[in-house]
Amino acid sequence: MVLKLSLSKKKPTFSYVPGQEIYFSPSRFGWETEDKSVNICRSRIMLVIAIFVIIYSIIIFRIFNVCLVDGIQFDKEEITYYRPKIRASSPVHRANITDRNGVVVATNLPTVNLLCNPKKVSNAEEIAKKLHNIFNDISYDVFLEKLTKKSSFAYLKRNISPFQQAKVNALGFPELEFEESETRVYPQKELLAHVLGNTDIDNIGISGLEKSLNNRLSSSTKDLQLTIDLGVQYAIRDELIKAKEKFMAERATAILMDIKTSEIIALSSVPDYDLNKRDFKNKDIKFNFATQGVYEAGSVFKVFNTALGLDSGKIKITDRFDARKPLKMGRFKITDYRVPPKWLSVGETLIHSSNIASAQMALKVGKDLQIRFFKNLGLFEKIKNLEINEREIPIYRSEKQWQEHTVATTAYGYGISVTPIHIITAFSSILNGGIYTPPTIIRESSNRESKRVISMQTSLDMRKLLREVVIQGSAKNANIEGYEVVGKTGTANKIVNGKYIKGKNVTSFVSAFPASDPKYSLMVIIDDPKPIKETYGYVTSGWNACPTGGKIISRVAPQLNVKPNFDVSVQRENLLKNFGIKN
Amino acid sequence: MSNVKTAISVLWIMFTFVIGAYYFVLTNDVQNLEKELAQINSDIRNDIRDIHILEADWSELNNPERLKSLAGKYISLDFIKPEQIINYSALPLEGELFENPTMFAKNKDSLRILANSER
Repeated sequence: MVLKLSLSKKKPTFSYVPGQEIYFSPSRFGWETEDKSVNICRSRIMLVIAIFVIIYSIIIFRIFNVCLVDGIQFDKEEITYYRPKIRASSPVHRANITDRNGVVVATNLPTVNLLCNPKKVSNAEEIAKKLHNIFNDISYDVFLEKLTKKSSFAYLKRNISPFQQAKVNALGFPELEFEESETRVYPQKELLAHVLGNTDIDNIGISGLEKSLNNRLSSSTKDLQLTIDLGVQYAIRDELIKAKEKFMAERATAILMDIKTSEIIALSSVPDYDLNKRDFKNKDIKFNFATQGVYEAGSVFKVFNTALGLDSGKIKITDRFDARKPLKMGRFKITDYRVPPKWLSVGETLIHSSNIASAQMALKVGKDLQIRFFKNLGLFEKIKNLEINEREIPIYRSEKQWQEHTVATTAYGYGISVTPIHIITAFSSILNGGIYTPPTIIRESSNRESKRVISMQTSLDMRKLLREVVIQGSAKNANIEGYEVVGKTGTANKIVNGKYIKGKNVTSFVSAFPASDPKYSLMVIIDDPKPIKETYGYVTSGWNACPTGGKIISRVAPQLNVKPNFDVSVQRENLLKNFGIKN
Repeated sequence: MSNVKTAISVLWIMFTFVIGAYYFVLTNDVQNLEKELAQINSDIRNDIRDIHILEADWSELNNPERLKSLAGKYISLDFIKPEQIINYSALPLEGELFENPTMFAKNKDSLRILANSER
């Protein structure tokens, strides 16, 4: 009998003969003999060691390679990623404001606030006494009150100087703490007071550009560049201060504008104030007449009236108007001031500033065209796009109330009140070739849509007519040799509490230069000028606003690189005379 | 065989120490460089802050009113007037300068500059 044992998984067939010696092999059961196991174990250990040695050798090789031979080779992206970062960020959190040449006019400076936790203060009297010695502007009682307040936080003094900080540190009170802060500083003080406005103690804009562009200024540290030229701004402000003093006026204002782009090069209203003093109580000096002063501009409106007449085709430049007697309009009577009583041409109407002839012109054009034209010139709405926060809406009659006498009076600037910025923008569009562009005061301004308001030919005609006003009309005092000034004067009765006040006027002078290719427009307004000996008792624009405008042009035109157009032979004669070569 | 093993072990231990030491030096160097970088960053921040303050200072020093008063005080300079700007073609011709010899002699230097100016 053969006993079959199944001892292997694969081939379990064994034959066994009785009496036969059974040979037992552990390998058949998957066991190794002692020698073989040790060998396998050794070989495995060696394998592990070999792996470690290889890895270790690679690491060693790489370390030596990196440190001593080549260094690490990066591609461009990796270099940008791994390069040590140099943090050259702005030290302040509100953007600078600069003029068009990059001169800083508003900036934040890093300062320190002094604070404490009143609950931890044990010797309040002593600290209050010593702090009062350092900060004389704050009384001992105020410090004591703050130091003994029932709260866990109190500002003792904000925006202290490094010198004061060192003094407080030297006191050695551990209760006193410092906090990094910023304060808004205006290095040019009052020069751009009405343009820039102010921020509050937490650096949030509360007036002027600081308010209207608060988001832009606080969200980016990139400088905000204005269109203002600081040198020109100073010259204009200087002349305004002189004019205000000379004519004992309540206030004086001027705006200088790039006639083609409507960028404001200078805008000044006096009286003004030092922005760093943060005097928020005196509201009178904060009043920006250039953008808030809604007033009846008087005869400067004759420029718009004449341009409308010529552009509509209803008036020809050769037309004449009867100005021999006052014009009766129902119960009103339109009169002239020092105008020769005769038939006046369009040019003479402007030269002599005739109300009667202007009213006749407007009546010939009609209500509908007049309203549409004024709308086109932006005279019926708050000035668009201008970044200055303080702007006013014009005052005018509704279309229903705009009757025949309104058509006649608005022709010479009564019955409609606008701000100076409205007038100069509209005037620029008349003289620049007929394109109206909303004004701006910042260089990065966008979304300003220009539109044509009159034809190029009308614009050229207006240049000629207004040049005659300066050569032989009411604006003679602004005829600056070489600069071919064009312009128009305007004198209007001042309204106080809704009533015209006799003897009180607002005088305006609106101009552009040079006539052949106007580059800049200028508007000067003097509020309530007084008669003086030099003006022979007159208070009309030709005696105050107009000469002030002339002085401004002669001073700023060379700064603005406008070349004077002199007669070469005359210039040569003058030069030789100066050297005494010719008499 | 055991000698070889010992030698290899010693060699590896030495390697380990060398690498360890070198790694220590390297780490130390990196830490120093990081400190240096932090210092440079801090210096840059301070410099930027100083420049920022100096820009405000510079703007205040360049206030046109101040410059005008300084110019008037030290160098007698005033604003340029329109009549000071002349055309090249307006410069006198050489012959014209000799019409009055006395005055020519008096203003010789200035007139020579005018006459020799580029046209």
